[in-house]
Amino acid sequence: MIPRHLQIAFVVLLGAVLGLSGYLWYWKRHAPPPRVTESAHVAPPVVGPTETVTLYVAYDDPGMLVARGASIPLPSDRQERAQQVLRALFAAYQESSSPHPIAAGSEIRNVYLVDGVAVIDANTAFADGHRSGILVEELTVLSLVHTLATSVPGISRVKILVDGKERETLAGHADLTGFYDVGNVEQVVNQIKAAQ
Amino acid sequence: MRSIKNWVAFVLLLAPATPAEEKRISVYSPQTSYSLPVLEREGRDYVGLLEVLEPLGNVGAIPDGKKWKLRFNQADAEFTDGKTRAKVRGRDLNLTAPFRLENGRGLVPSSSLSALLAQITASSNISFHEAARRLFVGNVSVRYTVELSKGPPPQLTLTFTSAVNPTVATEPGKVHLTFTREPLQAGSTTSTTFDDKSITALSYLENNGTAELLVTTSVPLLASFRNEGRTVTLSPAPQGQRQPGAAAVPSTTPSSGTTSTGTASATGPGAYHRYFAIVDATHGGSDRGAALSATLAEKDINLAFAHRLAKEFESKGVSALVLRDSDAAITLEQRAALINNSHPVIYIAIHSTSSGAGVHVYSALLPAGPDARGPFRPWETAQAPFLKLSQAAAGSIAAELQRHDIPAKVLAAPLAPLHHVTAPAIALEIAPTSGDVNDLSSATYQDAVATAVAATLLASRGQLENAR
Repeated sequence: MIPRHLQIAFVVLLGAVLGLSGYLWYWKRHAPPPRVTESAHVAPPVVGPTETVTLYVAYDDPGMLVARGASIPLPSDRQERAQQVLRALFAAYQESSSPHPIAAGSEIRNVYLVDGVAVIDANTAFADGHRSGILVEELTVLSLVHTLATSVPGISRVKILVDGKERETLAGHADLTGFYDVGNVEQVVNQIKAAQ
Repeated sequence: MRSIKNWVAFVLLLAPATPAEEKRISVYSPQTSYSLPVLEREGRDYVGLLEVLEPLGNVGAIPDGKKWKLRFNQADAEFTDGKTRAKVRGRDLNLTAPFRLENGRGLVPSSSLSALLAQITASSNISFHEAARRLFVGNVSVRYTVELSKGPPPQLTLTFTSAVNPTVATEPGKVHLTFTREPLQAGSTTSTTFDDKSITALSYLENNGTAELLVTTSVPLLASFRNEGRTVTLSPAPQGQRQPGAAAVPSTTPSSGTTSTGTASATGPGAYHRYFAIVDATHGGSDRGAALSATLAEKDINLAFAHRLAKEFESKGVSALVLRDSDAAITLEQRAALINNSHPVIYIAIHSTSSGAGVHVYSALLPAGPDARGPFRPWETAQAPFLKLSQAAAGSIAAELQRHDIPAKVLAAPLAPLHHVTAPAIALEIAPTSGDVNDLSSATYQDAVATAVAATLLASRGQLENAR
């Protein structure tokens, strides 16, 4: 024969177990969805006076570069300045009315300046999502190199990396294995301008 | 003749017997096909190993006394003059006859090629038809099927797995279709007899680096090409076209669609040094290039146009090689090596796009690179000495296209392998004329562009040839 006080304790504990199970089941069904972690790179806020820079924006039709002024905060550091100019250029290309759209999520990860050499490091979304074609790829490259060389004096050669690594072509055509000579690029930009 | 679609025939007199031929070996690979002379030494057949490997990858060799050191891609090999034992990828290999070093040139017995290439390229997919001296590197072959419909008139239909361009020759009672560049291989049987009085038999033969289909006939035959060079039909010639005494009437290249590389008879597979133009059907294999529409890939338009342009050159009597003759993947470095080894008068890269209008004609936008040192040119800027000629050619082509009401624009582009090419080099990016991407497949549009490009380049042929 089980003593009466043990029977009471068993019933109380069983009630507690059932109660807690019901509580857990309720919260599992009604709990808010887990927070999604943003994986996109968030650049630190830029500190500096707002200045007007010239962006050389590509237009697919009729295949040309157009100088466009943009007011953006620019830090005094030369390297950060180069990054901000190219980020402003990418932002222009990702507007809904862009004359030369680039892939959503395209970003400039970094720009490194060493003596007269600039190394632009873009992300994979930029290259993987870029449209394929000689002219369309060339316009992107010319726009990047010419905008950078115009905004940050003293650059004579530019290399473009994707996600920190060398890539053979941007999207099957524009060669990314070498260094772009700023003088040669300027000549092509003038050639395009003269052909309009 | 160009207006006759899918069918052409040339009535020729009886072809003379084949003159004494030099011994040759043919090599077929996914990148290209070529043939090389065979040298006889002490009663054995030898070939230059460097020449065999050059079109297949990056190769270099250094003679060092009696030794000859070779590097192919990442593989090293060492041979010794007068010795049969060689070392390839660190392993011993016995040649069937002693290696010969002649004026810095390494010669190996042709009967050792299969084993040698298998070890150097680390590939088991090498097949050598030794008696016929035909070497197949990788998975390359063209097969055929035969069908005789009794008619009347009877018609022999040969259907090939890819476009072919045989040389056709005749002798009394026989028609020879000789395949020099195509890796043609026998079907299930090498000889077929027909229960027909006019066309009695078909035999497959291999000899001296070529494959041949021999048709035995009792009447003059007319050959025609259809299905972009994939189908050859032979049927009795109409009475009016028969030549007295001629047993057969041969045909030459197909009139439309694609042709295989080279001309039918003037240039054999080994004649790649004599090409006027190398027309590069860019992209290929898994590299589809731009997606021109949901179903149309850039690589396919490029290949079709490259064939059309090559044929346009050939119709004007100059030879042209289509680089990438099938849906093969060829790297930019391999393309550059093939072009520079072939020494063409001009290199033309073909691209296509769905955006823009007309044709964009490009010369190289040279990257920043080191200066040339003496006779050595930096790889990055190998195009530099030829750039002015390339720019002039691009300008002339654009002007000619505009004269024919095709919008054209001249630009410089950072486009490999243009800047690695040691010859005048241009790229054409063909866009629709009306904004409709189907323009790109139009034979009329492709013909108009090809005619203007070929005519312009042939007009400045002397100037371009001087660059060599």
